[in-house]
Amino acid sequence: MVQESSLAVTIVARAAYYDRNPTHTSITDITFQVAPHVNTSRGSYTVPALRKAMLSSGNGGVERNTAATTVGAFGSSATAPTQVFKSYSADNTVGVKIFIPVSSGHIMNPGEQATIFDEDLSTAGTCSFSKVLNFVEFDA
Amino acid sequence: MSQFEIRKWVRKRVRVTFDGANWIVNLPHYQTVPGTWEPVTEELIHEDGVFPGADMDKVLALLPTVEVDVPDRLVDETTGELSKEKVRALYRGIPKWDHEKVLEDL
Repeated sequence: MVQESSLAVTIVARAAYYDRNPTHTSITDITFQVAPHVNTSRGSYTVPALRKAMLSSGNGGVERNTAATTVGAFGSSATAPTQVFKSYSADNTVGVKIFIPVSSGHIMNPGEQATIFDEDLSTAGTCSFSKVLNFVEFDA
Repeated sequence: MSQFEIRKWVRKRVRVTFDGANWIVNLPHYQTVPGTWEPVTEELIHEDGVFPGADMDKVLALLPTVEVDVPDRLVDETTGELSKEKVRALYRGIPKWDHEKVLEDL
């Protein structure tokens, strides 16, 4: 006896993400010789409805410019919405720097938010911070 | 032009709020402009943020603001102001941004 299957599979060709109305955007912040401050957002990006986004590149860095009287943790970070990078130090040496590149390919869903931050919990002294996240946004 | 395209950025001064861990701006997409925090107040607020150890109640009472660049897809083309309608349309169905009071705390 031959039993026929009722399972039907339809295969629909779908364009790759980079051909689904792609647009580009970024959040960027570069600041020099900033006084100590608590954790502060310097930019944010939220994926619109019916869209997705791929984190295509990015980086974060920090450099101490003048020594603190009492050094605390200082650095920059990013979430998208989970942690993308965190570049921190508690080194009070003038000129000490940390640079972290961000790997690409992280996919964000509609409504998910990416944010870049920096902070310096020292007393006095100054630091410079940089944060860059680039996105390709496309139809979900 | 698609509602998703961004052709230019528009500069605005908006309120900064504290979410319990970080100072943030309650917008879905923005970049802050360095050195534009106000009001600069001794031991509380400097031009790029809030001093560590500052009394949070005193800082909040000063209603701090900062300049931000926002994409034109959040801005009314005619008035140049942030547009509740455009934000709600862009984030349709996303509870955090698609509601009647969105942008009201800025």
